[in-house]
Amino acid sequence: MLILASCGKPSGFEVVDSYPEIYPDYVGVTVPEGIAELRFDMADGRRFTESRRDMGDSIMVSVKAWNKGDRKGVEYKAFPIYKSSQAIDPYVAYRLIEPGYESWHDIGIYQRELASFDERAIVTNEATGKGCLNCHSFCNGDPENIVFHARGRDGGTVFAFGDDAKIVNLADVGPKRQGTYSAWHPGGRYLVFSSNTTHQSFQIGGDQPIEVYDTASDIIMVDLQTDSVTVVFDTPNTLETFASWSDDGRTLYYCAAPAVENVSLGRGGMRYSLMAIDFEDGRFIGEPREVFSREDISVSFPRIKGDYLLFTASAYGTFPIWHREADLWLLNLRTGEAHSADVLNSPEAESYHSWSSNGRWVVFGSRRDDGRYTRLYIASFDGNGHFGKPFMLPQKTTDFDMTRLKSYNIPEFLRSESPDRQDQTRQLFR
Amino acid sequence: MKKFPMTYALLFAAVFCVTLVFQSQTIQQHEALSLFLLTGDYFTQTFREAWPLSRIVASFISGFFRFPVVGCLLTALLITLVYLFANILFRFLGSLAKPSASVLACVAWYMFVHAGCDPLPVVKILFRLCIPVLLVAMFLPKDFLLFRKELSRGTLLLAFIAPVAVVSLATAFGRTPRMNEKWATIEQAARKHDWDKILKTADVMSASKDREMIPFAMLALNAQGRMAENLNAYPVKGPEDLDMEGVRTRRGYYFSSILQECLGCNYEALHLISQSGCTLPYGTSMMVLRQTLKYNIALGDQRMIRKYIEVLKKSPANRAMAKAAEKAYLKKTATGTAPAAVSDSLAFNGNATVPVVTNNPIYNLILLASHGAESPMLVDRLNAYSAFGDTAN
Repeated sequence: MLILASCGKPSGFEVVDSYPEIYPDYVGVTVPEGIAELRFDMADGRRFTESRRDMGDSIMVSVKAWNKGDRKGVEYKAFPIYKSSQAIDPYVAYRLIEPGYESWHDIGIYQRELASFDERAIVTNEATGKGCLNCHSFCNGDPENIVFHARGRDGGTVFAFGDDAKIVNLADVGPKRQGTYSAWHPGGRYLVFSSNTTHQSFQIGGDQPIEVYDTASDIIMVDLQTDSVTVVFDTPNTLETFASWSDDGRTLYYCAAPAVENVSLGRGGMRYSLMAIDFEDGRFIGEPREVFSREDISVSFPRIKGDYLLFTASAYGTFPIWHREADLWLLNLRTGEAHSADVLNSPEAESYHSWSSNGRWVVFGSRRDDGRYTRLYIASFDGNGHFGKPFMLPQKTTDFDMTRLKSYNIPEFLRSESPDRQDQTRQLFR
Repeated sequence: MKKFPMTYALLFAAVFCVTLVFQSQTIQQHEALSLFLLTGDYFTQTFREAWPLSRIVASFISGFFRFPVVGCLLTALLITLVYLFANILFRFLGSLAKPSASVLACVAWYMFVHAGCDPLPVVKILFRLCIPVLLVAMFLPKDFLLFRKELSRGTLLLAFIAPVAVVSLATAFGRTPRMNEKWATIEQAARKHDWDKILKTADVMSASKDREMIPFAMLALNAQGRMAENLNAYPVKGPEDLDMEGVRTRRGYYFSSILQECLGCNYEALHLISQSGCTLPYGTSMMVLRQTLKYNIALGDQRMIRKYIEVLKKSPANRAMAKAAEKAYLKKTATGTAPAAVSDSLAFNGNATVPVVTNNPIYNLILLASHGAESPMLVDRLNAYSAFGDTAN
């Protein structure tokens, strides 16, 4: 199909043996069948035409570009967009929020259908009196069961199971600890939360606008069957955070770092290691063991699929999105070997990530486009430790994300469309 | 040829002149705090609110308030349109039509002035008038009159002029419009670093009545290197009058962002102008976007500069400015003056030792000085705080 991007074409084109520089960069990416159309522009803003040929296992895209008034343009080497036979979950959920700073205005958790450009709100803070909404998670990608925090007046943690929803202030029950980052046990009965005392600070100089750190963090577990809350880790000399379950639910992975006396001054020395503890019949058994630790790496966001664990590595600290050096690393749980997932990374921060239900795709947040606004990228995974080149979540217009003034946050694949939770949540705040 | 009714021209001229003379800063300030962008997110958010079409039209018009003369012309046009529609609507009132229409138009004008030059109330009135006007124009017989008495020309003129005069005087001398105009002048002058204008507007008498003006006056003196020696010139009670630390309002954040900009802390200025934007209906505004662009230019962040230029191009009233900024910046980067990229290596943790901003403004100044910042403003500010003894300690 010939797509005309502009009129006034030159009369001839010089053929070059190189790929065009396009934005977003879709050259050589691997996409799932049925993904929304990957639309792009010339990175330097030149006019262009494109034609796409379906070759079965790939689409070859030919591009001719020119400047206005040129008599001769450039015809580039056709570039491939590979098609994967591996299915992808049909939706991605994420939060949209202004990128950092203390306050917010509109926050919402949204879902985007991957086969189209359709984005809809699951719940926005219009339902909660404009308080903060954060840390949403779904049980095994099932949108029928969601938990998220709604902060502010009468706020707490919202648990929604189908048509039923309740709001619980975890600080009022059991060990009286607030919940922060959550992780559903695959069986659906247990929810583990980290309980963090978090501070946001702004730097006098340097090139990092914001730093976020914890002065304390522990881990608690909610039993949804008995409505009880127990403390998993409560160690004043260690900060435990970012819990995540193995696929079979028999192991809880988490990050831990020795506490530092003055975190603000000593934040450069805070490095989190990856730990694990076994879980059986509703109880944690044995002693925590170190899974991965390195002197120059602080581990965040461990997410497991099968034998692989993807985490974010940064030079220090626990909030890597504000660290330019933050990258995604892949750990082979069988061999214990970890390496940077180079094909996924960029000179800017790569941060929160999650696996698709079949483990063949990963979605993650990256600030590679401008260093400030997080955008979503999706990459294929072959099951043997190799990722494909990531592609930016396609949008209806190529300048959509350029002019969007919010960041994408906590992307999670969904196995189906999520119900609208707005009215349900509004009822809880009446 | 039918004579063009003088009343339209009179009303138009009155609104235009009064607005231009007494409200030109307020009109610009309204544009600064409003938002109109041709983006999906903007329209999605607007359609979630009540009266979305009115909001879109009002916001579109507000965009042109950036140019005071254009803003005043548009205002005069809107009010005259209300008068025109009202004349058609009140046709059945016979000779009372014009005075009644004048009253309605002046009510709309008054609402506009007291909403801080927000055209939304006027646009809502216009939309509400549309359908009744259409019905009256199309279906009411031309000879249907409720009031058949013919009033004298003089009486009619007086009845027309009276409400116009009332609103004109209220605009010129009313407490709220005058205060709005004063504050608009101060905030705009702060943005443009027009310190003399701030000192002229936030004079001692005004600052005594509205103490929030004192930090702005102090900032102006500080920028001129005269704050420490002029502490007694204003009714300064303590160090809290020298800044707006902890003032979590739009104005407080706005002031703090200008202060940080003057001290060379552009990241902190960005943080605070964003905070200021979060207090507004859309979470940002045209002024916040322009200031954000300005701070990113100061930081030399090419990609953020490009982003905000593209965002500003989505505003019809700011497109030309955005293109000019783009041209200027492209010229600058072409000559190789853009800063180099900073390391993204895991081995680089230079940011770990950078001091963080605290909520103690004096301590922040000391940190700035220890971090290598040198400016007469910094020294003058520290001297001013020192005048308050123990607090400085």
